[in-house]
Amino acid sequence: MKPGKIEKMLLLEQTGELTAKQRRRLTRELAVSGNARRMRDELNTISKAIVENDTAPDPWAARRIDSRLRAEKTPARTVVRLLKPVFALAACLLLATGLWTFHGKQNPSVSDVVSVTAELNVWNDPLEEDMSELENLILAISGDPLDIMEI
Amino acid sequence: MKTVGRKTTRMDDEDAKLLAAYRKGDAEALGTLVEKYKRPLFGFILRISEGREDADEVFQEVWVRAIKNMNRYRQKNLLSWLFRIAHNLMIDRVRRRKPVLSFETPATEGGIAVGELLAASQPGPDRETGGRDLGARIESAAAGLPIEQREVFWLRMQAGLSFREIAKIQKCSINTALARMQYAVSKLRKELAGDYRDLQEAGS
Repeated sequence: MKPGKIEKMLLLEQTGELTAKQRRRLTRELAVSGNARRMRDELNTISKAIVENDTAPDPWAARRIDSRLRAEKTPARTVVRLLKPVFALAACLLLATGLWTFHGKQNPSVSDVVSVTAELNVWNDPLEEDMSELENLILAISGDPLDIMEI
Repeated sequence: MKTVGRKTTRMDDEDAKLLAAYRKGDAEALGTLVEKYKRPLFGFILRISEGREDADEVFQEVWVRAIKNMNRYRQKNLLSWLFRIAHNLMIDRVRRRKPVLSFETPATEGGIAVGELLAASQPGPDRETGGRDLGARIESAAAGLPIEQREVFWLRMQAGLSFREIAKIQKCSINTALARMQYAVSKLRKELAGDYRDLQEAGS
């Protein structure tokens, strides 16, 4: 058997996860292979040398955990958590309304266009009249249409 | 080595009762639970975290997460589940950190690997006589292993979990968990080559 395979079986033997068939195979291997026995000794030695960890957590750990859990359950937080979907829905509605309004303005109706044009005409007509009056005045003064171009 | 090959599929009745009592407002019940699992859990966390303070923080966070999500995991073994939460927390923390150090990672510009530095900083065999010192030597050497291998090593050696349980915690196959353990043992074997005789003597 390959050393890697033997090592895997030895590791599984330590945890009691070997099948009966694998156990028989490993027993045979250990009986004939010095390398397999050396590997098993090595693993056992490492296991035995592991120091029991005496370090304990903060003695107030349970209190701190409890405080954290209670703090997270306070009514204010609970209300905020319950209202979260409401806020999300309101935000969605606001966004949808905004988008709808924006698109509505992007595609104005015929009546909107007519009213805007009429409004412009109200401003443009007196201006044009004033301009032509000014033109006539200049013509009357100079008597030569070319002078207007120069002016 | 402790508890080998434990069958852990359902939450202990006592744990379930303590949790129910805590939910009803009995803070002492939580204290009893924390006390019950503090050694294996804190020992594991301490060995894969960045020191005592970090370990305390992770330990508390594990319990907070466990209790907050208890409804989802009613049918599982509590300790395995605590280990799983600890594993997820540590993986997140490692990912948030920049480089991951391993034995192969050059630690200096000269390209000296972490393992070499670690070996050089350790006292020689002549200064170590008892099994406890050798255990500490193993602990120092294991600290340089990549997180997945270190986790498997300590879950197996210290917490006494089976490979099936370790595979569940790490969300991998049993073969992967076994392979990680083999890598860990192989690297420790190289690291501790000089002390191996001492190890055997201490172990026998």
